[in-house]
Amino acid sequence: MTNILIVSHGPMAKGMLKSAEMIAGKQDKGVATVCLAQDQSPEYLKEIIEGYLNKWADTETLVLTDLISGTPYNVVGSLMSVYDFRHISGVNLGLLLEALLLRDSSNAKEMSNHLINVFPETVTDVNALLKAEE
Amino acid sequence: MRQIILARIDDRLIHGQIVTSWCKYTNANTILIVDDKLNEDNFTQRLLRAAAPPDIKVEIMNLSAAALWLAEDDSRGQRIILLTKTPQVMENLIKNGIPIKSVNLGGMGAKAGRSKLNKNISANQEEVDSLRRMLENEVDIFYQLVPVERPVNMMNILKGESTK
Repeated sequence: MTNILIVSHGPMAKGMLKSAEMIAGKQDKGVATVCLAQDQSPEYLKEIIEGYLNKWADTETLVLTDLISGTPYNVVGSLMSVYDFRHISGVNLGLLLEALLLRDSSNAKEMSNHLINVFPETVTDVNALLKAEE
Repeated sequence: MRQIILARIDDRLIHGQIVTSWCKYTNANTILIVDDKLNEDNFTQRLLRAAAPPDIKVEIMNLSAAALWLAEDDSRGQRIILLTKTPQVMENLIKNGIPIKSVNLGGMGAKAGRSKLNKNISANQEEVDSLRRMLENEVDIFYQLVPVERPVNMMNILKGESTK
């Protein structure tokens, strides 16, 4: 069982998990979200994330951040020199669903490899798709 | 003297607001981070450089190196966004002769020892004192998270503020 932590600017992480649960069902232990508010410092965010990484120290963890170069990316990234976990930046609902479906049977490295492979399929130009079916 | 197009205090340094909004709005091609601690931290430097847009050059220096570098003449048309985590570093650059007339207060998040100046900006007493000294030296200090927001002059808040 691999833990998943989603970290975002504002309420996206929390909302994204709720949306994913509409499709994949309610998630129990080992899935958490951290939402950075405008008035919070990176140090504060770091403490919260470290809380999860310490709590999950004996198990595998995949951290999903919303945007490369954003503060969630920076803070989670800075912890990669201290903790052992996988970090994918640029999460969308499709990728989160893939991760949730895999977490029972895969370790964090397998999950991150899979997410990078399926990523192109999570974004689609529907006009082009329809044209191809003509 | 190299051209600083935005001098910003932001404890998040390079992040979403800088990369997606300020770089485009100011047409910057260089980000200079002045931070003694980051200057010694190769891992975090790699992280920041890896995430910067390809057309933006990221420079990371300690205070003394930055003061010398900024004072040099530039023939390459650099347009620099200067970032510091605290007011004190910005103040020290000014003391070292870098002509910064206007400082954008963009991000000082809540943490131990700081109290709120406004909805999103927190500062401790040393930081407030530093901002006040810059104001006294006729540096304009304005709060603005992103370019689409109206800049808010911080003079009245800072003059009345004591964090006790």
